[in-house]
Amino acid sequence: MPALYQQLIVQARKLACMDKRRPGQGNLRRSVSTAYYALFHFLIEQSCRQHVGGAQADEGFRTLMWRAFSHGVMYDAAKTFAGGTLPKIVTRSVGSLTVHPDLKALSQLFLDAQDQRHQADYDMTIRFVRAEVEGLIDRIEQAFARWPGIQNQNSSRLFLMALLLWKQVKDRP
Amino acid sequence: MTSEIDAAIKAVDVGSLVSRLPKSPRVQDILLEGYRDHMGELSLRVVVVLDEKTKDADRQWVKLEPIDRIVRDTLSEVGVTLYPYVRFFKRSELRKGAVA
Repeated sequence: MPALYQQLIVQARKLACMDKRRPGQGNLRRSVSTAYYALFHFLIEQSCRQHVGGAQADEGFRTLMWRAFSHGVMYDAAKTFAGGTLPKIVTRSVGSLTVHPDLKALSQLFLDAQDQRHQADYDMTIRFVRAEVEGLIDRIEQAFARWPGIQNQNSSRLFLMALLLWKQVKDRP
Repeated sequence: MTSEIDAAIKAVDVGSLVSRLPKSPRVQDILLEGYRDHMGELSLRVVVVLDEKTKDADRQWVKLEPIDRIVRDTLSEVGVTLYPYVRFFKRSELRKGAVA
């Protein structure tokens, strides 16, 4: 069976394309929210695999670690990496790191998708546009495809750590 | 909203930025305004206004990404530190409420 994030991005696309002519706002809103959750779960899965391993035997550990992630901490981490400048505590510990352009783009995508998900779920004044919703889904699929090319970079390894621990780390002197 | 927003908006030469974008999909304008994001953080909302004739096929991310990249790079180059939420719409979609 495909991973949860893969199932969710497929579901997001189906919701966006469900109505042949005039797309219903309900379907578009659910599509945006589902697309965000596809990205959210993708990142958590990568982080868990990095930290506790990807073996079948480690599934219980991954499931437990999964519960520790929060949207807010992931937002803070993504905001730092989207800006490209890492705080001193990072450079002091692991040396100078350049945030790879694809990682920067992934961080920007996470912020954008989370903001749009919030609008989709809570802001009833907005009218979603199918072409833009599909653009968000394209962008998330592209991020999944590009990930193998950057996942072993030190900045990516740090990013996966930051998604969980940024609150505890970022402001330390 | 704040002087930081005003400074960011003043720093961007929209005409020059639009002229440096790819010819397709055609960008008519770029709108900048202060924005409180979903976390309450002061940010910048950047709406890239696409030509009304832009087809859906030309709104795939592979076509929009070069525009997004140039816009973000330009903001960074002129010293804007607020996070830019970049969106792509036609004017008709904006009139119908695509952004709050």
